[in-house]
Amino acid sequence: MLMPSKVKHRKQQRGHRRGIATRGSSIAFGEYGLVALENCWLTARQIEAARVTMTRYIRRAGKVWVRVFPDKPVTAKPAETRMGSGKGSPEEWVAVVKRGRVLFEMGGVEPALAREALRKASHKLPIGTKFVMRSDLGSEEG
Amino acid sequence: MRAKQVELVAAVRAETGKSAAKKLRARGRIPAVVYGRGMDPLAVTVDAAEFSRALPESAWRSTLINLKLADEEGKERAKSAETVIIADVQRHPVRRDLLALDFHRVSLQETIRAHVSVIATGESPGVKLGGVLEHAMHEVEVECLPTALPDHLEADISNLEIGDTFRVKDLGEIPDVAILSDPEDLILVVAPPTKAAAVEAESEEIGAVVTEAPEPEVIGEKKEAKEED
Repeated sequence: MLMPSKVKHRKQQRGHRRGIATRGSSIAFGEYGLVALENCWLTARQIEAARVTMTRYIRRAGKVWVRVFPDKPVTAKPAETRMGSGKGSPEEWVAVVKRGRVLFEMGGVEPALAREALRKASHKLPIGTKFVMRSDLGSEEG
Repeated sequence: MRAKQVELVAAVRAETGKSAAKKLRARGRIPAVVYGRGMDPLAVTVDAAEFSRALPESAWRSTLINLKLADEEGKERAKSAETVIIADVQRHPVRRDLLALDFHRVSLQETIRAHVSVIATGESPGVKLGGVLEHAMHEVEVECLPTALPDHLEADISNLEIGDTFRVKDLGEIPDVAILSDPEDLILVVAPPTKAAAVEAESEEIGAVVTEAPEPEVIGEKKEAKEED
């Protein structure tokens, strides 16, 4: 699963999820993409589940790019613990996703295959998503 | 294939700023600016529907526009047409509608630099054998007269076997157009197929990592530990 190799601090504050993606909202590498339509914390497990789903569906063809990275630690207190005694221990890693963000990209496959692979992958995610093609979004190059 | 030329009517606007731009968008117009060639920038608006009709997105970067300037009331100004290309397009990250346009004035006698898309043509024998056609670069930078600006460039992949590459130099000579991108830059590659077994093994490997995911190294803490030693 994806996680940082080094961090400056073990725990982080939660922050805000409001707003829209101003960066990472265009297709940069592949031909097709999956765009988030809602804001969320995407866990490393969810990202990995979606990636495995689409990679297995396209089998030997194509290439997949993951455009989000879970670099935010989320803490949790153990079950049935009394309140207090400080912040819990890091449990998982999440990527802060804002609507408009391209989550995954795919290239080297037919549009119908890419659409189906990304549709299956989207079922592993906690938010609504939209399939886009390079011509719909414009590119980040140039 | 040479880029086409289209005509577009733009109304000069007096009001600028966020509030005025929002009102314009609500009326179906896109705020735009015309600049370049040492002249003062000019704030204009264009009709969103007319713009989308005249210019499909694939042609944005390589179309010459004959921009006819009109007053705010819509009356055309005498002798006020500009030849422009689209320099920048701003879109809403979620809705994808057009927020603002930048038009760059060009002279038909002076060369311009532009990005032109590269399209793969033909059928690669490598792809037929299961190779994956990867686009490393979708556009190349060119310099030419505005009238010679190509709509797109074609990369013939009919000779590419698995492992073969198509570089900028392979585009060959294009009449009246100089390619500025590095000749060695990679445009296309026919990558060998990933073995199905490898994909499965990778997934299993990931499963193993899930159970034993270690905590990452905390930068400050390690330093302190070393200092104590």
